[in-house]
Amino acid sequence: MIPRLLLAATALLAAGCQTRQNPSQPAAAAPSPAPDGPIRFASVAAQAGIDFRLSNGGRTPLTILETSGGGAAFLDFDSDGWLDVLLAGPHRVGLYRSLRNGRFADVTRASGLASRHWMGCAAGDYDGDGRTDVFLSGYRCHALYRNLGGGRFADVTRAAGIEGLEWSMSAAFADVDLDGRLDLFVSQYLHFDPPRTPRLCQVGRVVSACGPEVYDPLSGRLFMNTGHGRFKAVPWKDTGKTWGVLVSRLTDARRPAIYLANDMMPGDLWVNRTGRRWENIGPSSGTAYDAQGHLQGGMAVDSGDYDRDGRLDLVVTTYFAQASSLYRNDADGLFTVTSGPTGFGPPTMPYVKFGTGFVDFDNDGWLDMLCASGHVRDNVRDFDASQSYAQPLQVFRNQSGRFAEVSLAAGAIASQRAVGRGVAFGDYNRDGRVDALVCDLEGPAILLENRSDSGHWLGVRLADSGANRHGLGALVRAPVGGVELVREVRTNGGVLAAHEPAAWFGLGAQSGQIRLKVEWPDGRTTSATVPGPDRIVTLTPSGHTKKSEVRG
Amino acid sequence: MRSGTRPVGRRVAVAGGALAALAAGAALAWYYSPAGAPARYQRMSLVDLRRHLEGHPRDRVAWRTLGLRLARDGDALAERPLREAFALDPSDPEVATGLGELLLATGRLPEAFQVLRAAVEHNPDFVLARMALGRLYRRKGSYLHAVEQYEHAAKVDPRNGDAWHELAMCYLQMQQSQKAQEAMRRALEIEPRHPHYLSLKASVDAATGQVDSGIEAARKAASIAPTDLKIQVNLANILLAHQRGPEDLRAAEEAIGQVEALAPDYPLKSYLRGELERLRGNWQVAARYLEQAVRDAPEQNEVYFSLFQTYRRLNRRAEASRMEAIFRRRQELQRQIDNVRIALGADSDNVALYARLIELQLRAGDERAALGSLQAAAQIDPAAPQIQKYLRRLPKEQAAALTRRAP
Repeated sequence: MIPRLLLAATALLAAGCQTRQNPSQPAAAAPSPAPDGPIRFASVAAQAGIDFRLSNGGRTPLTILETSGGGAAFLDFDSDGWLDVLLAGPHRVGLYRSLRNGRFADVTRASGLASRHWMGCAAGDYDGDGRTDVFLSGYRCHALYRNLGGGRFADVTRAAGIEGLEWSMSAAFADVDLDGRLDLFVSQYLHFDPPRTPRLCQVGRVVSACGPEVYDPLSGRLFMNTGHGRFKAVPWKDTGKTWGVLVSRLTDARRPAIYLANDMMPGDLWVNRTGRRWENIGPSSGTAYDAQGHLQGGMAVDSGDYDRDGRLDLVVTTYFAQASSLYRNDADGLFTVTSGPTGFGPPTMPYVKFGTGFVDFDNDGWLDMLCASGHVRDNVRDFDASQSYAQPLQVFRNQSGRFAEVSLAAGAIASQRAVGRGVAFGDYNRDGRVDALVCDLEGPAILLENRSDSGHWLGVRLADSGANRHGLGALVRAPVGGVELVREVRTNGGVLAAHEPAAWFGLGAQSGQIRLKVEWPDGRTTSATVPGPDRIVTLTPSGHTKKSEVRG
Repeated sequence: MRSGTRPVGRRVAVAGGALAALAAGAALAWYYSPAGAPARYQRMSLVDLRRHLEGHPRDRVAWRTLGLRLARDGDALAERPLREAFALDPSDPEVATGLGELLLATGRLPEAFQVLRAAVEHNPDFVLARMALGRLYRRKGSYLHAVEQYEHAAKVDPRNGDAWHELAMCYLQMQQSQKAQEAMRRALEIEPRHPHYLSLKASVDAATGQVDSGIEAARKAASIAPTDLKIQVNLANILLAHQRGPEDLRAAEEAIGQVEALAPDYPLKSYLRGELERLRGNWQVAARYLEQAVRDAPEQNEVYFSLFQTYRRLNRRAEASRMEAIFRRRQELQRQIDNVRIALGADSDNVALYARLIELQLRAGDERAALGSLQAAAQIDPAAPQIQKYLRRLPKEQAAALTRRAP
């Protein structure tokens, strides 16, 4: 039979090196960076004024709870057109307002956001007042913060009816019933309740965090937006042990599907074809397992058309010794695992992968990928010297549908180690290159400014009236180099993170007019012509470009 | 001058003859003395040796020789002489190892453990005993302890390629990739063209994402040992599981052809063919092979998954649903079995855990595995009600055999 590693075999892992080490220290010296490649980043959090840091203070061993969490968001909470930053983790939250010059000011104190045992964040204007609201997930805590304007947020959780959550993880604002209002899906992880459930487990000769198999799963909850600031939970039972959530148009149905990346449980792909009943087609779609039907430790999930066939494909990051799964969308709700043939899977196997996303970093028209990793056992080196709690970031360049890892030639990425969890994507400095924000569970947050060689580009934002002001869930299509590229406007995806709600097109060498087609969530289709590349445009359902800003 | 030397030469010749006669006499005396017994017994036929033992039941050397000779031939009759020899001298490492190996081969793990443990305690640097004890631990799933034995064996005899090979196997199971790779490197340093070493290197590399070198090692192993079924199967599996493109699928097809030629009755050959066609998108052909695979290897869960996915592609929804149900039920059972095994790794004498494992294995239709678990549990506490419940279902002799314990 096909050889298979015993996954998450906690009790089988052996004791090795017994020396105590700084948990965030890498296992080996970082390899020497290669000469600069086409995709490059600079690590600029400190210069940019982001001093958010998470830490367990060197305590060890940590529990499964203590090694979980760490969310990041790019959001424009003050509606000035510049992306601000939100970071959330255990007992800390940080809100940073863009100063519109690549720097940020810490405005947490005045914001009204409280520090609790947060896991991650979601962003979306659920009440349609034009201001981006925030949901924070957490362990025995969660909060819906309504954006009051002026940098102030109010906790409206109870009034909004968001309840019944025990250990919430990733969340997503999306219009799942196509009524024009943003609903909220909140995933949950597992039932961790010491002393009724174990805090720590014996792993070989070492005591360490227990694996997820030790605990019972918790199902997520789907809250439908009923208007007037209220939500109503609908009957829902998913597989549970979820880290990552994605609400995306993965099937041919008009309604978006919900994909849940579950930890050592089959992945869920929920579709609602009729508007009445949700159905989990994960197993039958081929997205619940790896290529041979094995369970995987699903962590983050994102969608993007990596092979430029017009359909959104899927990526799910996974646990150590499992290749991250890339699922090619074959239409009709069927997917094929292409991690091997695309070259994407094998280099991911040595790490415990978390936040990820499809982004065209070098604006060549092909979606690349970035992935943050970090082990889930802080003292992993005590029983496996080849592993470390902090792990490298990885960047994959898409070369006509095949992925090449270019991390060592990607500037700051080459030497960066982190206990990586949530990663948010957005163009915070508005230079047309999408940047990344990584939440490190044992260190300072990492802001990666994209300094890649860039082709021409186009950024598309949407503006709609009604409750879904940013057109979350819309598909934007643009003909580039003879093929029609498709991008989805949403804030959800990845893990514990929220992204800039924009469609970014890398145009390569293409200049001149660009004809855009927008498929709005409610089914309307509009077209617009943009005079040229290297600008950010805002489109409305009437087909007009509301504003056009030329950059580059 | 020559004539003058004759008397001296004669004297030398006489002295030499006398010495030779003395030596022969001494050798003869030694041969028939207790010290010469091992050599004498080695030359005796097995029948004569048995006859000798009838008259000399406390002749440890005779028991030892008989036991080791029989054990070398894989004869189960080796047990009694080895036991007798072991009882007369528990510190004899070869006897203890031979007996331990035999007990291990017949599934009497607790007793094998006692014997091998004693061998290692008396002779910490006896490599064969360490290797056998390592195998025992590996069989129980106690990779941590197995590693200790193999590490000691490799330390005592760093040129022992098998010790490094076994060590790599354990590390692979424990997901300690770097150590597995290092152990494989040491094994291959000693025997660079050992096909089994290369084959394991292929698995280690593939499991750590080094697919190119993994496939290269698997292909090299297969070319060195073209008639080794396990190695050919490993090549086919690695190519199918980590295929990088059509070229790999062509190579997999060749390897599967070789498997079919070597073992026409190999139960997973249809699965391999079906998987190959599935990866090529030849759904109709894949379905035919996989339907056969379900008949040939009904205990393999991957077969149901592949067929389920294939039916979905063919839009044979009802059959897909049926296969999905079987696959998911079996996978859930497998998940639970894995969890119990993990718990047993840390608490290996817990009879209740064994009882749970047996129940799950029976539900999964894996009677052989259930019997193995029952045997392990019966050796710990045959009187436990949870174990008795299963023992009562077996024929009396079989139940008695399972509960037979070390004297």
